[in-house]
Amino acid sequence: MENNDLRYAKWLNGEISDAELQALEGSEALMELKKVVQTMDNWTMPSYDTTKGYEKFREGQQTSPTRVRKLNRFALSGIAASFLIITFVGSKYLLNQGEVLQAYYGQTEHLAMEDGSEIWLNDGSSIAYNSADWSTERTIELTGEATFEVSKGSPFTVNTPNGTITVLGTQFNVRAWGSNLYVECYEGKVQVVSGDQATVLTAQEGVNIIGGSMEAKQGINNTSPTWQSGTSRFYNDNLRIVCDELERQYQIKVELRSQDRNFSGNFTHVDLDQALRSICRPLGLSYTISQDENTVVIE
Amino acid sequence: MSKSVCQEEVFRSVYNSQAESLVNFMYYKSGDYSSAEDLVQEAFAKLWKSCAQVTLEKAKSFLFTVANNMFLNTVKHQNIVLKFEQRGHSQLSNETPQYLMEEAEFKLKLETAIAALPEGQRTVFLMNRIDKLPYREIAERLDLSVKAVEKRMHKALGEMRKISKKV
Repeated sequence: MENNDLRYAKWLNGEISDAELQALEGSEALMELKKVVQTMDNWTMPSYDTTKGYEKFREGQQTSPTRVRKLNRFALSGIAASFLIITFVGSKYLLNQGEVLQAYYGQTEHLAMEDGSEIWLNDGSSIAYNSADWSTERTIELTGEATFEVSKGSPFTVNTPNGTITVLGTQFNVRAWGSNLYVECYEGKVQVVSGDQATVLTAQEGVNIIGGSMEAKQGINNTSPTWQSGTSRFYNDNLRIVCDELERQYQIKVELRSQDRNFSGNFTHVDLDQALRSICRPLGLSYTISQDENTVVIE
Repeated sequence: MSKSVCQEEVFRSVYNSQAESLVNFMYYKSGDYSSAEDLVQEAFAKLWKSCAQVTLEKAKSFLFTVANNMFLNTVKHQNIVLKFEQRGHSQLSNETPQYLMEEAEFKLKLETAIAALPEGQRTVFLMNRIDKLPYREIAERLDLSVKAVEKRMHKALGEMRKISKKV
C-alpha cells in the first residue's frame, strides 16, 4: 500500500471502479482489510439520547445567567461581554470566589475591570482574580501572556510562577510560559521581582528571566505587544519557547531536532509558511510541513 | 425569512442531527465519554451565543471546531483507551469457544491499534467506520478537503492492515 495509492480508501467509500476492484480482489491487503472492516461493522457506540440531551442543554442555558450576573458590575462593552459570558466556563475553574478568564486557542480576550483597568489575554492564556476584593486588592494570577493597562489606584500585582510584577499605573505585557518570564513596559514604571533579583522597568524597556536568572534590561521599540498586531516577538529566547508559541498559534505540533539555539525576531500569526521562514532562515535551519499540515519538523 | 440558527426550531434540528456525532467525535479524541458529553453541551452553548454570526451551513463545522478547541484546552490525553460495544457476534455458525476467544482477542488488538493512531487519522477513521459517515460528510464537519480525509483513511487502513496480518 503505497502512500499515493488511495484505492483502498476509495474502495471503503464505495467509489472504486469495477476494473480497479478486479485488480484488488484476491490481494492479500484487501483480505486483511476486509477482516478489519467486518469485525468493526459489529461495533457500536452508546446511542446518545438527543431529547434528554437537549432538555439538559436548555436547563444549563437557564441557570447560567446567575453565574454571569456578577459580571454586570464591570464596565463591559457589549462585544467584550458576549465573549466573557462564554468563556467563564463553569465552577471547576473557580478559586475561592475568584473569577477565571481563559482565552481559547486561536482566540484572544479583552477584559475591562470596574476600576477602568483593562486586560488583553493572548490565546491559550488564562487569568484568575478575586472580583469581590478588586477595589482594595488588585491581584491577578497569570498563566501565559497578557497585556495590562492599569488605572491609578492601589498597587496592581500580577503573580506568575516565575516572579511577581507590581505597578501603580502603566501599560505592560507579561509573557510567562514554562520556566521563563518576559516583561515589556510601554508606559509608567513596572517593578519585576524574581527570587532575590529585582529590577524597575521604565517605558520602552523589557527584561527576560530565563530559568530563574534575570538578564540585563533591554530597549524595545514597540509601544504595544506585538501579539496584538498579529505577530509574536522574541528576544534571545530558547527555540523551544518560540516553537511552543508557534504550536499555540497554529494548533500544530512542532518537532525540534535542534535544541540549543536562541531566537530573536518575530513571526506572523496568519501564514504558517512565512512564520517558519522568519524563524528558520536567520538560524540557518530548515523545516518541513507534513501533508496534513498538523506537524512541522525543524532541523 | 431565511433559516437562522437563532431560531429555536432550527437550532434544535441542528442539535438533533449533530449531537450524537459530536459526542462520538469527542470520545474518539479523548476516550472519555462523559467529558465528551459535557464539552458537546458547551459547544452548543457557544453556537447559541454566536447564532447571529454563524450561518446554518457553517453550523456543523463551527461546532466541531469549537469542541476541538475546548478539547485542546483540557489536559493533554497522551494514552487514551477506546472501547466499543459488540453488537452480537458475527453471523458465522461456528461460534466455538476457541473462535469466540480469538474474536475477542482480535477486537482488543484492533482497539489498541486504533487508540494508538494519530488523532487526526483516528477521528476520521472512526467517524467513517463507526458513525458510517461518508468522506464528504466528514470533510464538511471537520473543514477538510475530501482528499485529506482519504489520505488519513489510507494511513489508518495501513496501520489496521498490520494488525490483521499478524493474526
